[in-house]
Amino acid sequence: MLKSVLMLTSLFTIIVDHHAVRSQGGATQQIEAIVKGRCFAYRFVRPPGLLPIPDVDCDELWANFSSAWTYRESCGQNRSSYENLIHPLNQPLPPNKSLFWEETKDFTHRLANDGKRYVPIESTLIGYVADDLTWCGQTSAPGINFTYCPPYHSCSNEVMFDFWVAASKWFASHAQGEVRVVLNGSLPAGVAYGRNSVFASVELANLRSGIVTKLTALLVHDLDKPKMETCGSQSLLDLKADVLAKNIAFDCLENPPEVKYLLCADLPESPECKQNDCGNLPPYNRGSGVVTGSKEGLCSILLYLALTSVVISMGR
Amino acid sequence: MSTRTEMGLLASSILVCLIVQLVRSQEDPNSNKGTTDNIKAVFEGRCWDYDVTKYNDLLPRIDADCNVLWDKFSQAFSFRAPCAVKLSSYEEFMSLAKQSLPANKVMFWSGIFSLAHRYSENGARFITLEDTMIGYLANSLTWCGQESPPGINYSSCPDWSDCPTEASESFWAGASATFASQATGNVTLMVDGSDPNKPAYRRSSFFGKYELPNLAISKVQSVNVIVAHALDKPKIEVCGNGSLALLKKDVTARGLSFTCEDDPDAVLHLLCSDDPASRECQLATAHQAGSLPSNLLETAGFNQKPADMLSQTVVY
Repeated sequence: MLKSVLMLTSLFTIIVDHHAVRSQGGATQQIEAIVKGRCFAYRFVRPPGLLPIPDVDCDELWANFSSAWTYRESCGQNRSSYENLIHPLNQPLPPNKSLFWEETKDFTHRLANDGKRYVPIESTLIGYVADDLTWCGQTSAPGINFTYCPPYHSCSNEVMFDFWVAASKWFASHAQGEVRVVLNGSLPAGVAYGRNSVFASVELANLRSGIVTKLTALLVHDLDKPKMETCGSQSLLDLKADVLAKNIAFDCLENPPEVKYLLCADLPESPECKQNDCGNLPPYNRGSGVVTGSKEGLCSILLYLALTSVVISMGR
Repeated sequence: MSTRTEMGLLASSILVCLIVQLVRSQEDPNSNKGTTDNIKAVFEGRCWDYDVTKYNDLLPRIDADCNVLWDKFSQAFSFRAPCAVKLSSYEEFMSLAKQSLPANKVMFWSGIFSLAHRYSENGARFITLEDTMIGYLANSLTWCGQESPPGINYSSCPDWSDCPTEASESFWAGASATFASQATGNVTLMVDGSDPNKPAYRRSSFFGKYELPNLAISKVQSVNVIVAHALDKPKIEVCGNGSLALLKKDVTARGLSFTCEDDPDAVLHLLCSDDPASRECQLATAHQAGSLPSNLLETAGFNQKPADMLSQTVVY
């Protein structure tokens, strides 16, 4: 029985985005205290980053959240039941900062730098309070099943999946300007962009043409491993077609510098992190400033000129 | 910390501790605001949250109930004059919330909050005080007591400099001492070598006053110092000179080995992730051949860095 549950869970987690990671067992213990505590921390403690802080009543937030699923069966509920929670919050999203992800949650969060560089859904209040939690209801008191919850998206209108679909729909439909999606180009068997993913079916589908001007796919490759897909692979071409069909411009970048440096921070010894145009020098000029005098040589000058010329040529 | 592919529930559970968003900020401890609103709900919510979703595979769980932890914590300062807190006041709380720490993973930091925490990666690379239960609960909170009910002053806490040092530093002194006393093996310290306003190492810092003196010389072998420098800024102090020479003297005087490294590659990679076009960041040259996104070059520019990583520093 346990094994079949695990297999089922794995199946569904591969197919769809998932934020709830402890579907094993029941609802997260003390979920009410955790959600309220996160809400208060979001309002009064957490640095705001790029997002305005909504003036929300955290007790009311919990009431609106829990009323969508407590004292109910975990499956088969009406999907719109989270509207009372999500609609009134309506936290404004800054233009050009929205960051979507598919199969890259951990890396995406590091890239987003706690909502200070980019805004993934987990940096918005609604995503923040629910991230990594598990919940489901039961008709008998206390209305929450702390013993067993059906795996994420394992049945029709499963309550956690419906929550993330509703939250993702809100998140995508309020994005503005240039948006980005972080995709995994090193999935052993998968496709970086699947049309049945939450990103495709909920987020991309709800981007507003004319208000979202461009979507850039950041295709992340594990260092030193075979690239399973590139920007020219079929799933990325599918994505391009789907984005262009919405009249939104498209770009695809494989391990662009901000991504690659973050990967290299974890694997500094990787050959990919040592490459440079300066022969066998270390990857960085270790020129010193006021203390030891400058050791920076020809290499950095050449680099400066090279990059400057790139800027100039791009300006034309 | 290389896994970015989510391979299902089990793998995801392991990732929980890596993908959490730590609440952290760089509050000015001298600001005259009162106790954090809803501090009890934030504190207890964090406590339950930590117990269920944070650092599950890295740090042991706490036996004490979260309500008990709050009681012990708040008893240390509530219904007392704000400056009437002693170093020993938090002892009972500390002893209940204390965790054993894995060998070779402890990292201290001084004057460089943001980069140190991005480098430590929520415990994946190193464990900082803010990753432990004690630090996690109190991080970025403000609190002080008053003799009249409700015993906690929510409107105004004193300027730290108006209190005796013992009162102003009591909590974090105890937390730092507790943390240091649990360290084993090789420990790491990250400092800022490009702060024009203060030396990288000061004997009056928390590291100097409470951490270095509390390292157990029978259990700790060496102190490995990382000196980080902001990109494109003068390196005011590097290993071996200025206050870093004094640090070496103080560490060896305690009978511990001492190593020091300026800007290890992994740290530079992290800095470059924020500012790929900086002249120090040569990997960007790999992208000259058309794959370097124009927005990175145009927005970052030379000798300008996003005022992010090194500028956001805090001294308790």
